[in-house]
Amino acid sequence: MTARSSILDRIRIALANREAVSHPGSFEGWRPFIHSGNPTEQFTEMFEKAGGEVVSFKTQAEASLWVRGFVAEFDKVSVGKLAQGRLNETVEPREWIEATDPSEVEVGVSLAYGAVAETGSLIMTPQDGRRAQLLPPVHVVFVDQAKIYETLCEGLLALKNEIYPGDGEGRSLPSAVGLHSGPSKSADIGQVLVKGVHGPGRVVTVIVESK
Amino acid sequence: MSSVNPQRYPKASAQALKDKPEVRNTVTNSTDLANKKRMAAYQQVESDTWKDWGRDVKSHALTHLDQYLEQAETQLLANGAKVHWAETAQDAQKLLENIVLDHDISSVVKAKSMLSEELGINEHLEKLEVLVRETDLGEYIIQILGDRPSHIVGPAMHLSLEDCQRLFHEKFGTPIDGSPEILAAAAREALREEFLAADMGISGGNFLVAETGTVALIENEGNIRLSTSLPRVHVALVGIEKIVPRLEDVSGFVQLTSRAATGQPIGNFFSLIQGPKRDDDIDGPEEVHVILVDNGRTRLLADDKAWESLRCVRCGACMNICPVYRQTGGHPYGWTYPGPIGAIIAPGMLGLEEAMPLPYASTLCGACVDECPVRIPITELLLYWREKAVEEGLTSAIESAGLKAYTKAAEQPGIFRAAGTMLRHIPLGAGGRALPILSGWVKERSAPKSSPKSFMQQWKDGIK
Amino acid sequence: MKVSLFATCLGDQFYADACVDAVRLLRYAGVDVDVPRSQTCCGQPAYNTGRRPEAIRMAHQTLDTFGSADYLVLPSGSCAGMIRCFYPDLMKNNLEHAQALADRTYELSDFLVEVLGIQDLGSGLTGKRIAYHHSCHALRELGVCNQPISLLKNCGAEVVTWGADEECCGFGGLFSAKLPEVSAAMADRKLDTLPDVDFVTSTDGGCLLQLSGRGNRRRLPTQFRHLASLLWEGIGS
Repeated sequence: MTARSSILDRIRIALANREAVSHPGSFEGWRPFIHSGNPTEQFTEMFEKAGGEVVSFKTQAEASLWVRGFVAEFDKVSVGKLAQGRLNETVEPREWIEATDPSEVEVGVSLAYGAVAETGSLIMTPQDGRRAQLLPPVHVVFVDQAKIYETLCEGLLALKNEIYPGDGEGRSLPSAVGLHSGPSKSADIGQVLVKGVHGPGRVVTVIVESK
Repeated sequence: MSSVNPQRYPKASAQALKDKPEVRNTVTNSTDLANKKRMAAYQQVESDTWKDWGRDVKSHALTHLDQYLEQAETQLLANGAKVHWAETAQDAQKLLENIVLDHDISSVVKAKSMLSEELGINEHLEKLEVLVRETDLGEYIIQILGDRPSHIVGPAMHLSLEDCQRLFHEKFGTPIDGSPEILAAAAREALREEFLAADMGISGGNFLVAETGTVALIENEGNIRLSTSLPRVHVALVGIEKIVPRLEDVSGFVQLTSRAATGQPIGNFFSLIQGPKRDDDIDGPEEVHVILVDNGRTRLLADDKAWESLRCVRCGACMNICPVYRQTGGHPYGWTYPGPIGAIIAPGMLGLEEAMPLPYASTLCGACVDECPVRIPITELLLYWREKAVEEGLTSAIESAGLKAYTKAAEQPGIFRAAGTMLRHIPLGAGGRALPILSGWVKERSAPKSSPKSFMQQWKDGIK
Repeated sequence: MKVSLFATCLGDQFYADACVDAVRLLRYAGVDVDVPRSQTCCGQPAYNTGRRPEAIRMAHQTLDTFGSADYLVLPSGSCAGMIRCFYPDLMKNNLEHAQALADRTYELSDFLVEVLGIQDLGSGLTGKRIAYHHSCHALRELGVCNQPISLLKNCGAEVVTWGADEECCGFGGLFSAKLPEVSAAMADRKLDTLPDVDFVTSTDGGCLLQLSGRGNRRRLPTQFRHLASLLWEGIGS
């Protein structure tokens, strides 16, 4: 008898006379605040409250220009695979967007799948590169305004229902999804909040209003 | 976990109060802060509806546990993950050992996992001469100290800033009055190398989503994302009760749990792990193993009353509000899970005899019941285990005899009153040390003074 | 209107004067008071330690004593809570009567405010600073929260803010004797956070025994009075 069958058997015996409880269904009242109806505003408020920074631009070109200026202040930069496409809008030289080991840079640039307003979260997927999202102390993230979802439920369902290119086996989610809701923080040392242990201590969301 | 010893609670709690009085202050301050944050966070939402929903989803999942576990396994396998089942702690250790040997693992980075504590994972790996590094800052501090976690969310909660400053000064050479930022920077630098070099990452699991085959993990530091992304092998240890049916359910539970644990709308990093890296992923582990662990959970599930405690989302709210817990912190409870939740699951998972006297380490004040985000009837379950303890003869024979005699007297009012009269003539201060019940009282308090005349006597005499 | 008073095992021996004041208060409020002599103990000490059979026996004794009362009033939140919340479960074989008694059982201040509709007793506590300790049973089992406080205030008292007022005092019946060090630490938490007051009061004698016992051991000047006695004083002249 395998451990698996042994455990499942014990569960079935335990539940034999237990009254089943039905699933209460989706809970719509998750929204904690009266929404202004503007997910972008709410995302910004939540993200900033958590210690993150938010900037917004009308076009990708403007956003990319700003990010290039931002990262130029730092020694080395790594850019996620998906973010590279965005960063490359119209402007030429690509030498500094080459793959750099994210463990050796000061700033990383990523593209988020989307964002969630009610929790102030960025939805990060692995195709962009997880190391680039986690190792650099400063993290810059593009997100399209159209992909800012009101609730976490909506955001995750959107992710689940989008068929990933290259996946022919019906797997709905990527290998790993990370929701990042601000800079890394800990209060383990004497209950005092510190940032940047161990993920990025500074996160800047760059909202692109239209593609 | 090196030694499981809830029986030591009475002596250990008394000793802790005597030898380390500063722990009481530190824990009280920390839990006061946690309580304020949680209450503020729950005031922002319809907390009653949230908690009802949380209770019902978890009860539904538990009453269909076998189906959901099978579904989770099927999905995880389709995701490319490997699934193992462990009945006992030894099984889990062995499974992990096999993975370690199969993959030539010499170094491990660990994300905080109370289950791994419960299973004694670190000690076992160290026996195999694998380097194990805790990466959660609180767990890291505990590990350097050779201490044990005292709280399920803040393992180093019993340590003050000064304690940390001393430790870091010795270990890293930081200034003795180093600010938390300086200490944290030292830890970050030390751990960065270990993240990059580790062969394997070990995590727990806050939730296991059956629908999508997802191990969901909540954190604030990012060490869990790092531990589960950088090394080539990731092992997730997940208790079978962590099942949540659908992806959209976990979107609710992460918020329910985050608000209850730390007062945040959501933990800073929320990982949803389906399986190993895919062809179009740049990085990620080549292998993901999920070890589904029983270790006494099915025993709890079989109990018609106590199974409700399996709804627990490990938020720590109950121990934060518990007036008993905050006097000593978690160590005197002698097990991985202290406080109210520890007291009600220990009898099911360890056996009642082993778990004694934890169900009695409570005044039944009920504060925890108000705070539990999944509405576990904690005081009802404490009473339930106490009744079982009496039935199984696990309580003091003297106390049982005393209460039987008391009850007999209570059924005969004349005798009851005579006994009361006798009592008022014993100088309780002195005689108190002789009577078993009273000796406990007079240890720490002045003996109660009987009223000069009993009420019934005054009633008889006539009240104006 | 006629009410029966249950002094409780603790009240009879240790807070007799408070029980006397409870009688006087009720009479002042225009109510006839009856004190059945067969009353002994509500059974809570047995119930809370898991000794259900003994608790059931004492519950029967109490039901026999008070079963025919119009109202049952107690100067104790924990005993009132025991009867109201747990008697129906303990006496399933006599459920109708047990439930009927439970429904008619009140802690004293709850009875005064909710049943008799009394808000104003007098102004005898004018100028007094009072800290009110919420007994866990009164607060969480009976929902008695504002009733004592509003009565005290309406007698002229200043009921001061006390951050730890809802925290358990550490009595817990036998808990106080079996885990005395932790129990004392819990009492210390209450005493150390007390603002400067003339009196500490509560609906429950057990809580007051615990706090005053610890206070006296530590030679603190704090005065402890049962709610019934303070309210009787509150009537003034």
